[in-house]
Amino acid sequence: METSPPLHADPLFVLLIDADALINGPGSPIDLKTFFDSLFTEIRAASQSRVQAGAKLEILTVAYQIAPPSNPPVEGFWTHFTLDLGALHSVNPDPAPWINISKNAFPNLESALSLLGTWLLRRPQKGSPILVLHITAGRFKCSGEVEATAATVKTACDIHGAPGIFYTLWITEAHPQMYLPDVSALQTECNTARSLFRMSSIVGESGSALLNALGESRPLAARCLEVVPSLDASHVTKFLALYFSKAIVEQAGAATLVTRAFLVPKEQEDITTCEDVVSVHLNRRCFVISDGVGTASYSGALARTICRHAVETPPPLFATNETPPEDPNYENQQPANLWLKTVQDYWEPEIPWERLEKLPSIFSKRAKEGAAATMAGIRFLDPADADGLRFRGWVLGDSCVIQIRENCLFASEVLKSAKEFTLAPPVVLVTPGRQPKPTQPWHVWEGALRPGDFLLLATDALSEYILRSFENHTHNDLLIWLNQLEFDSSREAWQIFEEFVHAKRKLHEIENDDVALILIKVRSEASVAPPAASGDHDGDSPLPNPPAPAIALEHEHEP
Amino acid sequence: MPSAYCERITTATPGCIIILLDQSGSMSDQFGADKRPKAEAAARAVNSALEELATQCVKLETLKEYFNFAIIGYGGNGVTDLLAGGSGPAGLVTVRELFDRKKEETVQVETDDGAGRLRVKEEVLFKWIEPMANGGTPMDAALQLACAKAKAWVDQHPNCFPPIILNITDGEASDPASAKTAADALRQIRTNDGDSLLFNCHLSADKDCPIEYPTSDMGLPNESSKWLFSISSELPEALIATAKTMNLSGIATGSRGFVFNATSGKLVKFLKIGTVKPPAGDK
Repeated sequence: METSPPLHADPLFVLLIDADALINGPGSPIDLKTFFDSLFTEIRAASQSRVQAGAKLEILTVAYQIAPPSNPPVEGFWTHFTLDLGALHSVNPDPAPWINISKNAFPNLESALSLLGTWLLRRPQKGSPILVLHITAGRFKCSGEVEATAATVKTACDIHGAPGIFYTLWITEAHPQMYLPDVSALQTECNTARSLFRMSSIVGESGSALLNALGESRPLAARCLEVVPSLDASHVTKFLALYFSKAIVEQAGAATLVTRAFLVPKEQEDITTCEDVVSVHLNRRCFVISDGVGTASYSGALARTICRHAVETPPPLFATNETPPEDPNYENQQPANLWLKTVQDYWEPEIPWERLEKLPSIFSKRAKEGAAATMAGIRFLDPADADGLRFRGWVLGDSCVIQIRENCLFASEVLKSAKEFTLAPPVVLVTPGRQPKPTQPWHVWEGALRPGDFLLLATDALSEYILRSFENHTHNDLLIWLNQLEFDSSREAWQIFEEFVHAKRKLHEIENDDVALILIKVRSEASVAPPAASGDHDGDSPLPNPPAPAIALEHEHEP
Repeated sequence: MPSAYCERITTATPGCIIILLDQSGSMSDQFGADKRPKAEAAARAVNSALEELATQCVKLETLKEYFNFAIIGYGGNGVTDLLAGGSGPAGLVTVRELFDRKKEETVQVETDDGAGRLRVKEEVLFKWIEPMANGGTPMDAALQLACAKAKAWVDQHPNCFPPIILNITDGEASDPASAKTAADALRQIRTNDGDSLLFNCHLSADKDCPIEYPTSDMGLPNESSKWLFSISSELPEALIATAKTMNLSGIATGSRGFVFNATSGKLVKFLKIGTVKPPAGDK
């Protein structure tokens, strides 16, 4: 099967700035303009070939300020523009953000993160790798709510095409450290340090490769956190330059593959409570979903760590502790227990023991009981053959991989019928201090995707609905909806998704549960947009306007 | 037409659990293989089930308000609202208030250390009620109070899963006719998701075999059991599915929410099946 030339998607750089850190923090006032000038120059130098071809860097800045009690809350600050790396100038009129940000910031970190998370989730999915750089003096109030909104931002980054990075630069007089392997390595004994550790992304396999290139060797479970006395002393410029230059140069994925990812929490619940997680890695052609068990604490965190690990390193072929046989088409040769151990290493630091100890003992007791989650994923294999694009899939539990061909249900793994869904599916179990395990081996199989096929990864509520629709021959609504989602990658696709799920919940056709979906399709030459849908948005499109925040925005202008 | 009893329990659509506890004098009789008084076995089962239910509401660093609760004792002192003064409708308590009202008791339990050796360790159990046994059995008054609470709750939650009322008793109501009228009225209180569910557990000192979730009163040993069976709701399909995950055998379509001569362990499961329409996202 022929493939089209690869698409390239401009990476997105989100700058989340604590205005206090710049004005009143250690080493203040901090000269951001010089910092960014040197950063962009380094990125440009590292990605010359693409820069010549007109590579761009999309930049979003969000500023927040911890308003002293005596001051009234201040207005929000948000700028969004694209930087032409070849010329190092903006390609749209919005000014550079690093001037005069002392005024007009979000009143706290949580509100800034909340809006950022929503904006990222609803942003058109063009395969952009996303890096969020949080520069902070660490004077915010540490809480589960702040960490939950940061987690939503991280999840939102992961739906766009590559594992996102939430990189924290903590400017403080505390002992300098960077890329800490675990919480116990923090030499600063304070809750802020632990909170920032949890908010920061796991280095993971892709981050570890970057660090190795910079001469820093760190375990996969280390965090993208730097503790520094000043911006000048930071390592982040080198990391960012390498990250963005690789993101600019690497392919974003074949144009024939259409991918969309969506998340919706339960009715009337905030997105931060959603325990369904998705992750998309277009360069590795790997897609993963996971569903945290609702009755356990920290299952959402487990679902995130499963997705993060599996999208970079799919689970081994066999869910046993033996070394699997050689498989040239499969990179991961480690036994299951080692794969699961990495999941545990990612998950365990997510529990805020320092806060739980201050609550009634039942909270710690619940955390110690552990967490559980289902998982489902696929990875495309080489080469394509007469059957189509080959893939290998894996499923544990009632998250499903469903294939639709010529408007009929072609395959479903591992559950085949709506009747098979139960209240106790097999799951990955993790408990603090113990070896994690699956309650039964995960199912692995191979399949092939042809042009025109839909491949859907969906958590249980949506999977059950899809299978029941086919069984009852009421799948017309479903097919119309999937086709709308395929052809509309704009912000409205999110609205189409939410409205459909909401409507079906009202009819009790979809359970009131978190819903996650990854839609994959190989475009056929005959694929055309349905007349009612908006046009194809997979190519360059105007940058969307940010959503109107609850507080007014005011742009700063260069003097 | 959508099926009934399909609403999930969420903070926006909470559930309602009302437990009726016989505290009449006959509850001091022995029960079960360990010969504890029925009142003690019942109190332990209620405390255990409430602890498990309340624990389900602990999520991360917060308490999720998944349920409102009431425990109504009935005996020689008449009818007592044992969790009185909650901020929910008709004095039902919230999850937070349930936690605030708990007492803690440290007990010693034996556990297997994994190497086949029994070790004694201390465990903290939650308690809300103490065993009590004296006087008559004003079950009708208890059912009427449950009616008032259920109705007030339904008025505020018309679209939620309907209230579940669990009655633990060892015998006949002092006024069976009045009790039947109240039970019938209670089962007719409904939300848009279905009628309220009344389940009964009949504790007996007799050596009869346990009977669980029967589909008819054939085989029930006495008129009290048959009477309690007659006022028990049929288990909806959603709860049958829950029961199957708890390895409760013999439950089928048409089973009633009724158990006779349940052991202590099965009594706890009875309370759990009645109280577990899982929170949304539960597996």
